[in-house]
Amino acid sequence: MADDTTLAVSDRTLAAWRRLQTTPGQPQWLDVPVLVEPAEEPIDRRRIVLRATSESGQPLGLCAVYTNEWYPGCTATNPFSHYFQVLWHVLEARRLRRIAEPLRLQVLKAVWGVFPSGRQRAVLLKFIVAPEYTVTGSLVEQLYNCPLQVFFVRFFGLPRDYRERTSRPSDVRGRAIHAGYRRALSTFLETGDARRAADAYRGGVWSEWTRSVQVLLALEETRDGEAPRDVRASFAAADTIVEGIVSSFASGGAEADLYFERLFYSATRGLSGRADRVEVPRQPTAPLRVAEVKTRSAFGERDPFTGSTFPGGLQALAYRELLQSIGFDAVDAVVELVENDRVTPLPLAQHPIVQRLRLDLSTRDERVVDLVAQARNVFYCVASGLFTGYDRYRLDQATRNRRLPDVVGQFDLLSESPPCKVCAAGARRVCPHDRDREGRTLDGLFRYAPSALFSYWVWFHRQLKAEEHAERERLFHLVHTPPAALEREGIALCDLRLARQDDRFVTLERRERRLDTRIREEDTVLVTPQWPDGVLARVPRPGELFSVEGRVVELGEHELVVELRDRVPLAPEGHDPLYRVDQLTGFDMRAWQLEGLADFFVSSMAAAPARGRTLDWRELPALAQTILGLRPPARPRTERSLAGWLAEGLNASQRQALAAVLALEPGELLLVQGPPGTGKTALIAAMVRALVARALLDPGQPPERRPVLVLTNTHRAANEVVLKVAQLAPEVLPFLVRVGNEREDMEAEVASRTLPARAGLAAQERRAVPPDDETAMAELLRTSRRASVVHEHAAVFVATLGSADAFELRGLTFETVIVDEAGQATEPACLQALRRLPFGYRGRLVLVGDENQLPPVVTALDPPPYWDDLRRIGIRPGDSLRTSAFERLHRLFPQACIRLTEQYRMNAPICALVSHVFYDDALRPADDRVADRRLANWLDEFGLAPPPGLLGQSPPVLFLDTSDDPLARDSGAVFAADDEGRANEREAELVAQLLAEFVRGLPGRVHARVVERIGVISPYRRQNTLLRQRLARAHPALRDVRVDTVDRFQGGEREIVVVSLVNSNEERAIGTLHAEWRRLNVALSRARSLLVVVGDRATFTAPERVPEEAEARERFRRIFARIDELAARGEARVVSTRALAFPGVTDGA
Amino acid sequence: MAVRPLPEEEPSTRRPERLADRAATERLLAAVGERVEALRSARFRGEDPVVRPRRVRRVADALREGALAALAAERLGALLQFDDELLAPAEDVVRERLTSAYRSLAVWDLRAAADALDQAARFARFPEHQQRIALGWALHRLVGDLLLLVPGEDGDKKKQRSLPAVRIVRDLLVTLDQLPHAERDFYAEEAERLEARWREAAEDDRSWCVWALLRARVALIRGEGAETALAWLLRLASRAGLDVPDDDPDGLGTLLRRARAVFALLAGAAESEELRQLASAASPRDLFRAVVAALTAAWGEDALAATHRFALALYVPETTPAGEVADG
Repeated sequence: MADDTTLAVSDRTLAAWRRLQTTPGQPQWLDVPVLVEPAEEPIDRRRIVLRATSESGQPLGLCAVYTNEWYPGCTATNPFSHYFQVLWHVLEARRLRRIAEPLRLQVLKAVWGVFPSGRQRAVLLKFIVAPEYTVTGSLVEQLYNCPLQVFFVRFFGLPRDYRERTSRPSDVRGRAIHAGYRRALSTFLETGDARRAADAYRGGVWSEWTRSVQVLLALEETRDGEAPRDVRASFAAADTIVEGIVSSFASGGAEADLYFERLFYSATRGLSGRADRVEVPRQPTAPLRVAEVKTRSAFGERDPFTGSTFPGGLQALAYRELLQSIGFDAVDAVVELVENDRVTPLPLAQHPIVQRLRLDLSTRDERVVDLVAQARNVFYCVASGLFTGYDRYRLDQATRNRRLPDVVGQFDLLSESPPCKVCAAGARRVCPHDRDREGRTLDGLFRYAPSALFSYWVWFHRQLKAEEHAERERLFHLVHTPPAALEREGIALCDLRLARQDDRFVTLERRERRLDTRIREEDTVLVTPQWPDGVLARVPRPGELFSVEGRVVELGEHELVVELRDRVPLAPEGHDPLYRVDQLTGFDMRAWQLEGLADFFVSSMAAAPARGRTLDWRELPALAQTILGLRPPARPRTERSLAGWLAEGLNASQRQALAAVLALEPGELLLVQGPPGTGKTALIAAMVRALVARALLDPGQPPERRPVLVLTNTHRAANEVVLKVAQLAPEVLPFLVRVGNEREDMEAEVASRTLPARAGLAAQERRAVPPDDETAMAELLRTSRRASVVHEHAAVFVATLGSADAFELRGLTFETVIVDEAGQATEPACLQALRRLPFGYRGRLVLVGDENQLPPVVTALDPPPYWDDLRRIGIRPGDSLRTSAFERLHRLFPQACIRLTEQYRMNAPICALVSHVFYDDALRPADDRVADRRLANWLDEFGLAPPPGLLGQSPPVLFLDTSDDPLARDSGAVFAADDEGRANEREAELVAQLLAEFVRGLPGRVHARVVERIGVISPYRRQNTLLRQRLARAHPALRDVRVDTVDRFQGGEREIVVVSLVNSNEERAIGTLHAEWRRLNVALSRARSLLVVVGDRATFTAPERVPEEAEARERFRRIFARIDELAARGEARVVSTRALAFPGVTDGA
Repeated sequence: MAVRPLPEEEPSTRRPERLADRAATERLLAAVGERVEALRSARFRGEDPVVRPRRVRRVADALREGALAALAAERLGALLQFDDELLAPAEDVVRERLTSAYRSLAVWDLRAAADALDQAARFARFPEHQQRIALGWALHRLVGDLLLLVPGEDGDKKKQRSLPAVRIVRDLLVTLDQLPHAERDFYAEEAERLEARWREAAEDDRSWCVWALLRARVALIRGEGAETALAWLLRLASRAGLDVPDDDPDGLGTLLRRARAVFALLAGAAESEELRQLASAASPRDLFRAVVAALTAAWGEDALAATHRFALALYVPETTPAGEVADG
């Protein structure tokens, strides 16, 4: 087994270096990592001298890299070599960015050079630059096809303009055949039955057609009323495809183990892939086969003899190189092309790229390495921004040649046909090389952007790229870090046993140790066996082919349930059946935010009347100027009186907000601040009703223009909007579409509003595959007709920000876009809203949010360095991606914001506490019923009086102060990465006893209904685990109390809320979670009748340890002071916990 | 009265040559390099700083500082701030490069035009210069289309009738708000005119021959290779019916035979001594001159001058020389 600890890797490097020295002048294949730093600055354009060390820091001396892979004694250089150019640009960029850490190179080939002067040093010839940055095989292929496309799409993030309808049935035809093929093959290999394979094929095709709702909208029946050609052809291909499967796999199925959709990753090549199918031979000598199915051949490699094109060649070569570097010696990568309704498999040896270049696959052909390394290294350099940085002049200069010759040395080996037809840069008219260029082109995109727009783009782009960078390095980190260390970081769980495997779900458990982890439900994970594999002859690491990707469904104290893409392998005889689970982050998590940002940049420029010169910011669309903070929005016009039916059920501030929305002109922005419980969602429902009504009176709009789109930050919020509309404006419901397919977490009312469900194709119907092709096609046509009718008449769409480019919305623009939870969305995410406004942003934008509640969730990191130009667009030092557009714009234009001031949740004392500390005393209960609500009123609904005991007899605010309680000290941070893992046993016990005492005082018949209205909140996941255990132990009914983090509680409310602050220590550390003071606002404002705070006043009111804590500390001081004031009025009670005991409460009572 | 003695004049033979002081120059360039480096670094981070001379105490240092700042700004095309004024110190370079680029386009020299436009784009700060660069690129594409798209030979009927770049020029011109209307109108008409000429060449044999002659001429003067020029001349001769008898050993017929021999060899015809001799004697320039002469004779007009109808005319603003009073 290869040991990949730092020490072992370093030993290999040192041995390789010694070997190099024994054969001076002879290039050698090394394949070892080294860390390098430039030994001289500025870096020479002809030679780079580097100071090299091993991974463990042992010095290796100076080494050099020369242009064209030259070394002393070299007989023939490679004039098109890319290695020097890429390395030069990377080092230069790091120098300009002042990055001090050494750069990692995976040195593939080097030579011990002896110079005429007698000097000797290693000369590096071929290497992978920064292999920790993972690039997928399909991206490598994209680079090979067009480096400039990578620049525009993968670096800049340019998307297509989805205001234009883009989906066509022909696009889905290939995908449908692909899906059918996969199912048919899998079924045939399992059963050996061709008829069942044909049925499975139909199921796959059916599922793909019914998945793409927008395509269903585009289906047009033939003159005879039959299914269109694309649909018919995809079903009709069944015979050909199943025949092909039978002839290829009839005898060979048992000789190999088959894996579907497996992720494989090489830490030494910086490459990953996910093949459709992997066949691992049972005979160790037979080659491992990887099959990748492609559905488009317009821009593949051209066969020199037949002239036909075939895609995917470089991707297949990359997969082969990747798997060989992991340890599989013999690998064949097959590309299967879905074209003309058949699947054509092509082994790598017959692929046009191999034929054209006469690549020798039987040995280590260095041209293969060069091709793969070139595409991977150049992708890294270009997509990560190291090639151009944010130099606006250089960015434009880079686009002058589509092959990026400055960095792509081996241009003669790149593909000949760029994929212009499918490239967003061509469609948006920013690529100077688009062959079908016409219309108003956008040359000098970066150079001529107004400086405010450019600075805005740079500020957010850099941060999103930093997040993407961290995500791309995750796999490397998993492979190179010992599992125990990963578990300490909280991102891995080891030594898990397989408890159950049912269909797609697997349950893993570890009875002997608790699962303390930062992995949580919905996280993407890799499940990897921990026994040695026969072919690899070692324990596979995460991502090395045998890992199965999945999603965490449930996480308990000792077990977790994961929904997997494929079954996990079972341990062979004699091996301990242990597995590890590693948290994985999606590479493209930030992709749509980058797209929103790039779209804002390009759309703003495209709407300006002038071209070819530096634009003034005043020439941008009015709304873009406002977003940039340069043009104050109009003051909200609230004087307009509302019709009685519009104002019904709204309070004064809600009525003002609604009037202001209706008075908005195209190109205007309105901010609505909604503190907790102020009825934001109800207001949005009222807005929706009013805007739809207005649209009915203005039928002159084009059919692609719709009245209103509501975008939210989460699915939960989107569902709540639908529910609120159903409740308050049911007359709008027939015209409402909830974008997307049904999800498990959707209420039935919401699910019935999705387009598939409204078209009669709900999840259940989609799963029921029609018995034959004709029935399936007829059903598709019927669904298509119904979907079209629903879609044509839809006036309101509700979606999440992430699905703003969903199929249903393509081709549509909206008069008004409302963004709910705008304070929780990052600014680039919020820009999605602008993508749905008409060209030139001639629509209205309403942001509803509250910057005093939780800010956007981001994984990074420190903000980039600040520069002065940012000040004028309202970005302040200390701002980052966590600063939402709502917060920035509210800060800049407070006069453009309407604040909702009447809240329907908290009673008067709780409201007074929250309002005083977070809202300048502006927040008040909406009416006396809310203000006077007490525990007694709530219990009266059950016909009960408050029970005796501390909680039952408490005033509305109860503070259990642990300052002088020596037992109530926290555990300290558990996870190395951050302090998410704190816990406080005493606080957990106090909370459990407090609630147990309360529940015991109530009759058993109401326990279930009572506990579902109690919430326990702590910012720490570890504390929450502890709380759940203690609650369950204290009273069986308390098992059902919702215990969660603040972040997960946002948007929720309970009659009784208990907040466990946890931090209590000698150092007076409050941690980063509490330093974000808005978390406290959310925690306190969830309570309706009774708020209990358990914590150490001394810790939270101590002087700040770092400046970032100052505001949080101040707010804590104000909270405790306010509680004291309330206590003086009898509306709160402060209890020291030192001597607190709960008589009569025992474990398991 | 005391006479002030005249300084003794140094004999001219002893005067040193004016050579650059290497050490001082290197010092100056190092200082400029340092500024340029700081500027590049800031730009790489996303800023676009203005160059300002640093504060110094001595007048001599102020002069040097001014020079350093000006040089650094000029090197990267950055703006230079003197007192409260923002200056674009390389705008004269831009003007010169633009003139050069447009002149290159007028003589179908696409590569030189591209180089000049590229250089101009690096420094241009005046909006009218920036827009002239944008127009220059569109015209570059137009002239490129004019030369590279063979009239009447595209399989697509629609494409046979128009040059795609004309639409680009037309769409761009309406957005070039910093250029005078007269200039925009001029180039709009010029684009239409060139397209009309090109379309005419698609429909009319004689016009096609003029276009082919232009193509051969460009191939010759831009060094596109002897075979390219020969190929166009052969096609032209065939279309113009210039296939004359080869009774004159140095006449057109012989020159054409030599040209054909070149392609016969390239196409893999059986090699013979005669074919090789003919091919080696082929001269594109001789053939070009002979074809021009033959066409001039046949058409009754200077065939070479006829190619100028495909040349881009350049806009010249009407100005009144200083001191001259306009009529009336």
